[in-house]
Amino acid sequence: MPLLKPRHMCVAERCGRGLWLGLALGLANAVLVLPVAAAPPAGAALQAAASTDKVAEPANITDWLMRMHEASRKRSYVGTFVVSSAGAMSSARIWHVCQGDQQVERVETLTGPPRSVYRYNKQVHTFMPDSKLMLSESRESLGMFPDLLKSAGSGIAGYYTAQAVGHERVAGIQTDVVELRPKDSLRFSYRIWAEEKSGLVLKLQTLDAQGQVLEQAAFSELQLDVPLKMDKLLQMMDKTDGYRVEKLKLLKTTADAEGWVLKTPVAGFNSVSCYRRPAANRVAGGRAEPMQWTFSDGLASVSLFVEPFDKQQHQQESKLSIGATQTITRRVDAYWLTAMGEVPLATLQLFAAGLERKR
Amino acid sequence: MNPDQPSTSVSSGDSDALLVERTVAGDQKAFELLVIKYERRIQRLIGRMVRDVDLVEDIAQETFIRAYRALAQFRGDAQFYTWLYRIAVNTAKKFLMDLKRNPTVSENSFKTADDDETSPVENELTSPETPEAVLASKEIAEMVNSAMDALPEELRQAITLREIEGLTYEEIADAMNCPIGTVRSRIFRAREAISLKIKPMLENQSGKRW
Amino acid sequence: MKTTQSDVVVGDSISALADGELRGEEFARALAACERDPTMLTSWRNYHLIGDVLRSPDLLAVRSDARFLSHLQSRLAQETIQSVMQTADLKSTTINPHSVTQVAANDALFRWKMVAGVASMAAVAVMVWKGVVPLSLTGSQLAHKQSSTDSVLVASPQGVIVRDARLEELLAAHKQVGGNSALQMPSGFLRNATFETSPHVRR
Repeated sequence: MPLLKPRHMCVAERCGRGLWLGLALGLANAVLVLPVAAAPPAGAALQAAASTDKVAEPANITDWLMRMHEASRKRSYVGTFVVSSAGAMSSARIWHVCQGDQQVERVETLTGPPRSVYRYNKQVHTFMPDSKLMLSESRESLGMFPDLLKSAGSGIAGYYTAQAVGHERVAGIQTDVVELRPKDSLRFSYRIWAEEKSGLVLKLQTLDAQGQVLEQAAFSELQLDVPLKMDKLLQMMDKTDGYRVEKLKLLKTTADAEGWVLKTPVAGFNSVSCYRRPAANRVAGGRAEPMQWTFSDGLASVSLFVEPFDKQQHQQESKLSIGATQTITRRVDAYWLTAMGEVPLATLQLFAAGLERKR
Repeated sequence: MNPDQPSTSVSSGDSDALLVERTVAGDQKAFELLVIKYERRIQRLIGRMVRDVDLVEDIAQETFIRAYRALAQFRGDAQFYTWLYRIAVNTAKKFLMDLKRNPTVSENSFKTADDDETSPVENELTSPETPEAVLASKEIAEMVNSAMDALPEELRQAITLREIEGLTYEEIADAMNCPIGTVRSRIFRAREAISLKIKPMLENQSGKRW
Repeated sequence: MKTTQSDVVVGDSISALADGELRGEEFARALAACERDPTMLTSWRNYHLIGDVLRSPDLLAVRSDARFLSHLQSRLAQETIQSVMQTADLKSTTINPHSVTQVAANDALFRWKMVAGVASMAAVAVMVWKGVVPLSLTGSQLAHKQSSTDSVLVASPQGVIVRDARLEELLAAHKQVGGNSALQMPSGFLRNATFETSPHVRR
């Protein structure tokens, strides 16, 4: 049973094909816990995965992820997407168009404040009709999945296994259902519903160690391969009449340069990025922005936000669960840490314990 | 016989099964097809209980929403329309109850306190169509009939067996002693021939006709 | 009516669909064609009109037009969303003592119980750090920016809950950069906090 790659849109624009191939080849052989014959060597599996039109049966996790990823780069669709977490739910309508190497997306929120978000490859425009503000951003400065995978060392395969668990229909479309289970207790499990033919992910659940669903993201309704026109969406993306436009920037930095180190690494998690907002974006008198140091094991990620300790603001250390995302806050030296990630609280505690100011 | 009453001779049950299944699987479009199919019948049914045309439409909308929500509990052991019919009646009843409690609503909004599922079809129309529109409706009905008359024998027979007798393709194939594919084709051609004749008339109707 | 490879729809498909005589692949394709092609839907409508008329001519007198369906469609869209959630395994979720209480989908306050990370799919761009956001925002947003403590206690049927604007911002930033990494579905890209802060999180 093929492992499924999530239908991922922002990854798509970030990841060049070449990078993916390099990654897959570079990884150690993953072992799939499947009731199937021996897995072919990585190269052969890769070839099978590369021809995405066939009903491929890739035999390792990375090939799977790649297949899922490729599906999102090849298929256009329109659908209604719903995320449910801890009893609350939000939804949006999504238009996703692929043309060659280009991708355009449009998202209209159906719940909460009205938002129209357009993405064209790396460029993202968020329209906020209620404040007549459009935020413009280029996403190359932000974390990229292939980089995560690369820096994850032995890769996802070292920390998760995959198991085919059945077939189901999602939004009227036939899917394969696969579970990704962690090999240790530092991570959550995932259940993925991927469209049978291409591997496009239609539904995704994050589960805790007891098998309880922490969060679910799914298409409630979906039309695949709709003949959408890119130009129309691109036009809409640049229609800023009546809107104030703001460009957002992030400063890429390193934890080291910021004066931090994770003395005891957490197994499987590699440093992915470190950012700080540049001073220019700060309004006078505003609070100093935290440094954001992000780690990932390829599937889950953890962000460590560090800012100077402020007695007025930082009154209570806490632990919090918001669906799949856990959070802890605590003081570290003269600083305040907020550790956040789609991992068990215990994992966050490991991160918090390992974070140290450089001497 | 009250045409609104679900009957086994109009075999809507089986033909709806797949659409129902599809809806439960999350396909809203499949449900919309069912809505289009039953919209008139449901509105007419409700129109017997409630006079106010806008209210009829509201209740009809509410009926379909309730049906949609409850569809997961619909066991395919009954016909879909039978089930939908009951929901319509109950929804209309509830509206009427609520209305009666509301002293500001005029008595003219509803007809009788009790539903009358078996009341004969009334001559009085349930929609405030203009006389011209009424006439147009009658004309369309007549056109359908004359189009039927003009059909080649085997096409007319096929569509009659299907629409009025409610037979399945297989049963019709037996009755007419021809392959199922032929039945399918004949019914299709009959429909197309009739559609062709009524289409211009439909377009002339109150602008928003299909 | 061959169009592309993936949607070979034979001319009499809609007619057969109306009679419930389609199965499997053919059924699926006919449905797909209905979605894509308005003329298919017109045929569906006309065929049923013909059937109605043949069985009881007075049905024609009943008003029936495009409005009914389009009104219904937007209501259905909301219903679909809710039903997806209700049939999800989530209903069997036991509550993490620290997590937000389950709320009924049709709870009157439901709309406002958006948890930061999933609030309004409003994507991106959202490094809404305090002070970065221009002050010319709406009143409620402004109030948040200017409050000295960001925590506001709110009593609700679910107990006392804490609204923490700051947390929501961090959540947004986290989702944007990391989120679920490889498994970033649209939600990874979208699941960022809104510009407006309205998370309800129980400590």
